[in-house]
Parts: sequence; C-alpha cells; structure tokens
Amino acid sequence: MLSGLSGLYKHTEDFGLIEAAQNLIDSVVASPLVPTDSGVLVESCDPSRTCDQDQWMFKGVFFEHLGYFLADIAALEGLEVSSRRDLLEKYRGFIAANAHAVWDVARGEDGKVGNWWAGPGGGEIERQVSVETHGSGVAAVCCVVRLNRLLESLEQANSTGRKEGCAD
Amino acid sequence: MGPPAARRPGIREFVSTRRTLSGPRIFLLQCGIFKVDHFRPNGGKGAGRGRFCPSPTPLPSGYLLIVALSTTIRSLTRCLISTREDRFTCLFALCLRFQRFNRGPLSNTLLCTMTRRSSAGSAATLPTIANSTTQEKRRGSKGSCLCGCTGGITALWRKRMSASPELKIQVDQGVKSMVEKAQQVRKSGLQLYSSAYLFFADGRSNLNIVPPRREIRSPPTINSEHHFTRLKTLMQTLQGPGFYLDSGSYPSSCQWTSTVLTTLVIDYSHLTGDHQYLSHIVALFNNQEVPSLLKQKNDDKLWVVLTYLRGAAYASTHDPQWVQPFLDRALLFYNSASAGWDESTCGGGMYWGPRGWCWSYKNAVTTELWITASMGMYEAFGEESMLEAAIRGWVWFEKSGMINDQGLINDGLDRYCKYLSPKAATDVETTERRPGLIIRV
Repeated sequence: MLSGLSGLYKHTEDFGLIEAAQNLIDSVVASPLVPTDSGVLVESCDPSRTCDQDQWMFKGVFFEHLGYFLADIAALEGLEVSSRRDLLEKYRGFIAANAHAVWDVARGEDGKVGNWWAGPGGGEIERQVSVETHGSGVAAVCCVVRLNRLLESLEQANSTGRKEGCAD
Repeated sequence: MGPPAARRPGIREFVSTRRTLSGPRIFLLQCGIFKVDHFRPNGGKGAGRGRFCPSPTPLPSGYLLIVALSTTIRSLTRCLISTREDRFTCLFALCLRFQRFNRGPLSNTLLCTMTRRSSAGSAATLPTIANSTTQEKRRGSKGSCLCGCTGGITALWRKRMSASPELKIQVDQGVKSMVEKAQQVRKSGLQLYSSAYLFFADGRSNLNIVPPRREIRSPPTINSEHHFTRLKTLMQTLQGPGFYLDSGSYPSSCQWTSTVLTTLVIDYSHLTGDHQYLSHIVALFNNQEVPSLLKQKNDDKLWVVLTYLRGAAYASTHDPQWVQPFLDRALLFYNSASAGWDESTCGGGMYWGPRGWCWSYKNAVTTELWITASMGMYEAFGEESMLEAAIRGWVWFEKSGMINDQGLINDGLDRYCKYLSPKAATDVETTERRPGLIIRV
C-alpha cells in the first residue's frame, strides 16, 4: 500500500497521498503493534508463539513496502533534498531499531531469525522459526541498508548541489 | 445420517463421524475424487499439505476435519481449514449435494468451530489427506477470512449492500480530480521505478513532514557496512539448505509466502548488486505453479504481480532477457485478479477470493495490493486504465472508512459493508460496525 501511494504521488503530485502514507506508518508506530518506545514491531501472536504462516510474513512485508516508499520519495528529484532527507530521517530510528532487534535478539544460534523480535534475546527463549520468520528478518535488515544508501545518495546530491551553487 | 454412497453418483464413499463439541456436527467425507484444500495440521508448517486421504481414518480425539465437496461445483465448495496453535477452524464447507443428504438446514457457518489440539495430535497421528487429482502444493486459508467467508456459495445470490449515493459521488469526484492531476503531470509512465521523474508540482518543492506520533529511542548507531554484512549473512541462510533450486522455492513455504520471499531476494539483488541469486529467481519463475496459482485468491495473484514487476525492474539493470518474460507473467496475473474489483457492493473494493470463493468478503490487504499492483503495472505498461484503477482503488479505500479511528486499516468488509477489525491489532475475529457513508440504511 505504501509503495502504491508513493507511486500514485509520482503521477498525480497530490501531496495528500504522502501525508496519508505517513499517517498510516505513524499509526502503526504509535499502535500496540509497537509495544514500547524501543520501537520494535510485535505481532500479538509473537510472544505466545501462536503465529500462523501468514503472520510470520507480515512484518517482512511491512518493511519491504516501507523501503519501497522511502526509495520512491528519495528519488523525487523535483523536491528539495532537505525535504526528502527529513522524511527518511523521520523513520530511521524505527527501522534501525527493528533491524538491530532482528540481529541481536531474534537470531538463534543457527543464524535463523525467529518470529518475536522483542523479548529476551538469543537462545534464552524458544521462538517460532520458519523460512517466513527468517525472511521477515531479512526484510527489516534490507530496509535499513536501503535507507542508509538512500541517505548517502541524498547527502551526495546535496553536496553536489552546493558545489554547483558555489561555482555560480 | 450419512446416506449410502451409491445413492449419489460421484461420491464414492461417505463416512461421517459425529462429535459433540460445541454444537456443530462434524463430518469426514472421504472422497478421493474431490479436492481438499491445503491442510496444515502442524500449525502452518506445511505437514500434510497437498495430499489425499486414501482411507477413512478416524480423526484423533479433539480434532475436527470437515470436508464437503462436490465434483460439479468443486471450485465453489472447497473446505478451507485454518490452523492456529490450538485449534482448527473450518471456514467454509458447504455443498449443495451434501445439504440434500443431510436433509436439514445447513447454515453457512455450519463448520465454524474450534477445538483444542490434543497433545498426541502430532502430524503423524492425523489422517493424511491426499488428493489423487492433483499433486500440486496448495496453500492454506487465512484465519482472517473466518467471518468474511461465511457467505459461501449462497452469497452469490444473496442480497448485498450497495454504497450510498453520497459515497459514490464522493468517490467519482475524487477520482476525477486525481485523474485530472495525473493528466497535468503527463509523465511517460513507462519507467520501471526509475529515479528520473520530471516534476511539475504546483509551486511546492517541500514535503509536509507530519510530526511523529511517537518518538522511538534510537538504537546505537553502527556503520552502514555492518548492516550490509548482516544482510548478506542472513540472505545466505535464507538461500541456503532450506531453498531448493529445482523448485525455486522453499518446501515449507506456501504459495504467497514463497513469492514474497522471492521478491525479497530480488530486492536484495537489485539493491546490493550481488547477482549470485539470479538463478534462484529464475528457478521460481520457471517452476511456479501457474495454473494452480491462477485459481487461488486475488491476493495471492497480486503478490505474484508485485514479484515480477520488481523482478523486471531488477532484470532491466542486470540481465534484460528476463524483463519481458517477467512482465508477461505479471500481466497474466494482473488480468486474472482484475475481475475481483467490484463496485456493485459497497461501492468498490477488491474481493478476497475468486468468484464463488470468499466472494462475499472484501479484504483490505487485497485492495491495497490491487492499488499497488495497478500502479506498478501502469509504470510498466503505461495503460491509462491501470492508473485509473489505482486512483479509484485509493480514493474508494480512503473514503469508505477502511482506515479506522486509530489510523490503522481494518481487515476488510463483508457483503453488508460491515468492517472487520484489523487482524494484526486484535488477533480476534471480532466485528465492529462502523457508522459511515458506506452503509445505506
């Protein structure tokens, strides 16, 4: 959905779409799906290990599409670089928090990422592990890698812009 | 109560077992010629999938299995079995012939019930369900369909709620205004997620950053290269022993998750330029069960569309020979899913199921996927109708009240346009009637 909205924005330039997308993301971040200010996304079935195959995948889908959305925004060359960067920065803490939790908390000794990214770390508790839970972990880490690259490219664009400005 | 099988051609054997768990009668129809939907006795781990029961094995205590299907209308009468850790829920199993056998009124929700798994109830003790007519992998149903799907076959001719005239007007106006904006923008629309977009904004060059509703404590900053190394390691695990190159997939995944996982592999490859997994992506393309997937629900089809749109974008940067095959696959599934968009009930929205199956339920995720896929398809194919589908999808989605007061998206709405709570937020099948424009009273 998020990437659908940024796509629509590109073709209609209706700023309301970007605000709607932010509201959707912000609502998730403010909802019980993120139980604490540490920012880690948790499905209600996670702690009790009662998630089904679909629920294992949902967190991954969310971060996948959040990444697409931010990539679309970063590529909007008609917008001020600072404006695009501010939007990306807004979600950096949230994305990084989840990517860290995937690696530090949810990853088991065999290197596979389990379902619950919060809670006690590593081997202390048993988590549901499947190709889907691992894939969701991949998506969160992929999202932070994407975000870092987008921010770097914006930084570059900014410095190039400044240089051009100086030349004038 | 089970009549002799001979009385009805097409049903070879009919075994009924009755249990008295919370009311509903429980039947086991043993019918090798019938289709049985994916059965996940092991809480979704895929055991027992796609197999058929050759003999009428009694179910272990505490289990329910309800299968009621007919040969002539079997596409309408699949039994959807959802499993959670502690229960099986049969979402919908209604068969007209079956109804005649029973000589009693069978409500559509007949088979919605739950039971606790017995401790001995491992996959090994369950009857194997095998399908002699098909060996293809079947994916399981979703728990969230529980309420929405109960309309079943009869929902096809049952009364539905149309949208209020006010909603229709609002949607039409919203669509018109956005289509006009799109025409003003006049972009080529033929660039696949390219960064080269022209910009004709109405004098604005800044985004409005909505203040966050919650401040997240930032984790310790680490070098971005560290994240990349971690990603590479996780990807190696994902594409390691659990991945099968001969199928291009993971045996324990179901159809929608396998296509989403492949999208993640595509994203990784596109983002990092690490091309070692291209053969894995192509393997899924070559081995995906297309005929089976085309019979699946609309969300499954739309996930496939998104996979190959992303795949084509990636291939265009690395190995262009795959661009056209990937786009062809995306178009095939997009066209197949497009029949699910309907405005006669509730003014819009995408049905979750193909016609006759979950046809009474408009699922939020499916509608969102429709919007996203339509947008991506427009960028790939440049057809105006695709852009308009995306615009109409979003305008309806926003105005119909699908987004609730907390800003979260409801799970979907039934044929009375009644909203179902977000599954993820509540994880219970509660329903909540939302006052809104959509309900005509």
